Amino acid sequence: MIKEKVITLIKDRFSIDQVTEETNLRNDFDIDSIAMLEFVMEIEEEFNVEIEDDDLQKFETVGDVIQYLEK
Amino acid sequence: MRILIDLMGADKAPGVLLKGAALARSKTAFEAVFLGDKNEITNDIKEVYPYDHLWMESEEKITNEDEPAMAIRRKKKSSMVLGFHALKNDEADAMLSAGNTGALLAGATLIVGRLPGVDRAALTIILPGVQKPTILLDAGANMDISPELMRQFAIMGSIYAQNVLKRENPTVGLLNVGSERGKGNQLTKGSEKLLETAPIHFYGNIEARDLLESPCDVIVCDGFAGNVALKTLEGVSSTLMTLLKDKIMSSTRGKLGGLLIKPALMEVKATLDYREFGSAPLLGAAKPIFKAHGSSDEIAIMNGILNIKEFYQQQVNSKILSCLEEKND
Repeated sequence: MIKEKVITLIKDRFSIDQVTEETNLRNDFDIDSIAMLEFVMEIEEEFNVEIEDDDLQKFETVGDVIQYLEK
Repeated sequence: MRILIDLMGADKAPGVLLKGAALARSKTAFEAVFLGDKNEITNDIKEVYPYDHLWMESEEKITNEDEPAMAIRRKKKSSMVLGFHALKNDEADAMLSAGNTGALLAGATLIVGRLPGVDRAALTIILPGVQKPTILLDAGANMDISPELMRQFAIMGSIYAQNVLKRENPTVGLLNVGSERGKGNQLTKGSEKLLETAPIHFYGNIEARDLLESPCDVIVCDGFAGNVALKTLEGVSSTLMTLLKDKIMSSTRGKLGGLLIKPALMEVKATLDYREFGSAPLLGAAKPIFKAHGSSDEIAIMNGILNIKEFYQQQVNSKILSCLEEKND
């Protein structure tokens, strides 16, 4: 459920067709730091969580985000 | 009209902002909401700003060394972030800050929001010109942009020229390293193609040497190029005036000649004075957010606030919004 939601959200936000758990958030998307934070804020709102800055720095892949939310 | 004034940003903050606000208030009515740390103000505020005002107390400061996007997220009790939330919650109508430009852009994007159809706001300045002023955007908010973003800047700049500079059918030039078509890097080549079909009057490429004698009403570029161009102009005009003054004062003949040409020199200085416009809007932000120069004096701040009031009264944002909807249909 969380996985599907996150992947759909990324596809919609960044207009990307192919997104897997291995997709790298920093290298596979041509986005700047503001766009990345917009994405994080959308995740926070969607899942009603507040992601700590330290955890945010550890996000490398889409799978990292999914794992964080599943915890 | 209620204007948020960030007291924590300028080189000579907070004094210069309070004095500039007082000068502006002596000329026009508005309600100031000062954003800042009262501990940093040594004088009695009423001595510097003898008008009614509101205050929002900050506990943190966003510096020019902070990474902009993260600073907005981390420093929630900074003057800038308090201001963004006040704007978002309709507690004020506009905001002026002389602080970190990147943080201003990040806050405008992440907290206040953008006009529909705009991905990023652009710092939009009015360049003094020999014949007429010219609009330049982006002057330093977005360091890396795409051709699509350049297209959005061009449309917004064109609408701004129509409504603020009152230019009918404004022409838009692309800042480039040559005036011939197909010049430049990937960004300018890609942008040129999009601008040719955009709902604007695209003039073609403009070289930096033509900035002050531009045949265009609007010049678009990425924030990196725009900021370099702007600072170069400021540096050259300041150095030129200093050199002239030194040479004039170095001999009796020079002093005599200087007396004769002094009125003309003062006019040139006034033409190139960045303080005349004082502040630049982040065009595309959902609410009027204006950036003042970090080295602003009170005259620049005063003019900056007067610009904000004009922008608000002219309902520039509503006009941009309706024109964007029309042009994107």
